[in-house]
Amino acid sequence: MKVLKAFNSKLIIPVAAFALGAVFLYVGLTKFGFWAGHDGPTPGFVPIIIAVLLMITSVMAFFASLKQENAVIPLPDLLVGISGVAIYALTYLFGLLPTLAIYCAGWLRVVEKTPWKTTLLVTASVMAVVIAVFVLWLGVRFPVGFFYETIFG
Amino acid sequence: MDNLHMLLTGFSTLFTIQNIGACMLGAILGLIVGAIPGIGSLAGVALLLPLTYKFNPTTAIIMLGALYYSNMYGGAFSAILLNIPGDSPAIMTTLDGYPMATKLKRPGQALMVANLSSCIGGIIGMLILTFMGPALAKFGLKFGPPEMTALLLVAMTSIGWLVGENPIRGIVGSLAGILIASIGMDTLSGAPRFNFGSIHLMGGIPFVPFVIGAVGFAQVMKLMEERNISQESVVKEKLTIRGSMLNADEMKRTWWPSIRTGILGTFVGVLPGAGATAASFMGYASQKAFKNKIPLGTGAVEGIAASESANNAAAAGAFAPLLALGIPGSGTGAVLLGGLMMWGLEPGPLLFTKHADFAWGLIASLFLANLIALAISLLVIPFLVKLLKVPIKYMIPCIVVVCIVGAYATSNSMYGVLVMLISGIIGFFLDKNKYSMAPMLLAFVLAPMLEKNMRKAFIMSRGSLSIFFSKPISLVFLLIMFAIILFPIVKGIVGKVRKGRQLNHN
Repeated sequence: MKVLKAFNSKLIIPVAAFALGAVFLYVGLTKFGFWAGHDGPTPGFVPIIIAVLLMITSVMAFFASLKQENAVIPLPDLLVGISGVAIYALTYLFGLLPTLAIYCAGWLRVVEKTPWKTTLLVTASVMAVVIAVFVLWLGVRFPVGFFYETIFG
Repeated sequence: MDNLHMLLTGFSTLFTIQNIGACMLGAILGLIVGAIPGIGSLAGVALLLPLTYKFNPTTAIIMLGALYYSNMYGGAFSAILLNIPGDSPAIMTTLDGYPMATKLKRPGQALMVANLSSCIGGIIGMLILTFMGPALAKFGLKFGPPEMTALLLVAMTSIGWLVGENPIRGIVGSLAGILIASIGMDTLSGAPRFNFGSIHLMGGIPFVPFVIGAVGFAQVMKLMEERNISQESVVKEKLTIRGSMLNADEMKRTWWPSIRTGILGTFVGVLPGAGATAASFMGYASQKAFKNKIPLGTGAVEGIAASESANNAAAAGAFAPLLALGIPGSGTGAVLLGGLMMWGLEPGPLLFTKHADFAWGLIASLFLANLIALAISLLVIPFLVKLLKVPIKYMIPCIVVVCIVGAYATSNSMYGVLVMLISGIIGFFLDKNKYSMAPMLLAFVLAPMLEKNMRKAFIMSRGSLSIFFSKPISLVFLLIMFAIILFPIVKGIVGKVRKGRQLNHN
């Protein structure tokens, strides 16, 4: 199985945590302050303390990570994330439910090489449950997308 | 007696067609999700949260309780039939469940022992909860802002410090969770903060899409590795309820281990950071000290009963600090707490006095959910056996669809889907690098409470830290917190010294 080696996530996580702490510390100090005389702690009080602690612990986590092996991330695992992003983007064109139906059938057929009969059966079952529960029962109105809006106004 | 009277009042709140229906639906869905290997109770409860939106708060909370509880039942099915635990608390069940189903050729009986002992453990846990919950709440009424701050720090530290291999990673997760929770509105003044100019962020990070992503979507990404594992069930012929009945000897061997580990499991469940998994490990380990008809690990009825009873009792025990103090003991508890808060319910010392109908309705619904889960788990044995044969590769796109639809439904905007995707991808990378999500989720849920109490305490003391050390209850909690922090450090140093001595010796 192909794995993602170049992406050094074991070091990126502590670095990202440090950056998160730094951003909150900067914004907290410059915009919200730490203490206001008689009024006591300001809205920045707790986030500033936590941001400082996060920066310290992320440095510790960084050095601890150096001793550990890189996490092995098989490339197929990322397919799910990529398909999620694709669904998000295509929803603006086709609407959420049609995009999900296309995704479900496409995934089963292309990625899993499932026979057509099973593909259609699983897709129809999932979409039937989604429509029954979310549209008919919970009354959720899903986005219809650019094409639907253009054609049906 | 007061507690029993209140429990009966809780049952009277519970007994409406809608509430019982919601309880049954929650139990069935929880059981199915719990039985599917690899999803687990945390992702299961997160994925099913949007379904509660249809109901009024009482019914929604009853359904949530049933969902959470029956999830614990489901884990045993795949543990016994496939040798794959549906959830981490069921790991110990595989040790005897699978051999009993394969070597001893009694799969139906193994499932029956698991279901019965789950029910016994659950009832013991709930009986203890009935008496301990209000007592704990009464004690909690003595808590002011300094005591609550210290208690919340203990809860966050214990989860962050005790979960996973590396305590630093748990602490990084907890701290990041607090910062993420501070986005949106200030807890005291209500003014917007840390929204970085975004209108969406003014409302904060939406809880349900965040949880669905961080737990559910991240879990599907992980399932990709397991999708080609063949799920060969040990059951070749049809399982029937009659064919799964226990004989008198098996019944006797189920009964006592279930009672013993049920009591143990409840108290383990009350401790923050311990949870159902630790309870099932301890329950199983404690059973080794007793006489077993055949050795544990070879298909012993006592082994299945001990681990299943302990983990279900722990699930009930975890409700005591959750309801009485607003402190969840695990990641699943944190999701449940978030769900309760979504419905305007603030668990804490005042819950049993201000919202007694809610609190006792929920406890009563747990009793009912326990019995319904038992009945359903017995009735659906043949159906679940079929469900377990569905390959994981078919489930992946189905769960992705549920994650996206659920995230949209709870936020009514694509922003919810975006939050879900981002938190899912981040959650996946965190998990791959052995950062547990539980501390972050717990901190995310508890952060507003911590901030509110900490700031109030500092206002009371005019900025002096001494307020936390001058009050006996908060002092005790802080000492516990320091002990929790120091324990792994001291343990590590002692280990290194011993290793050094051994090397010198050799």
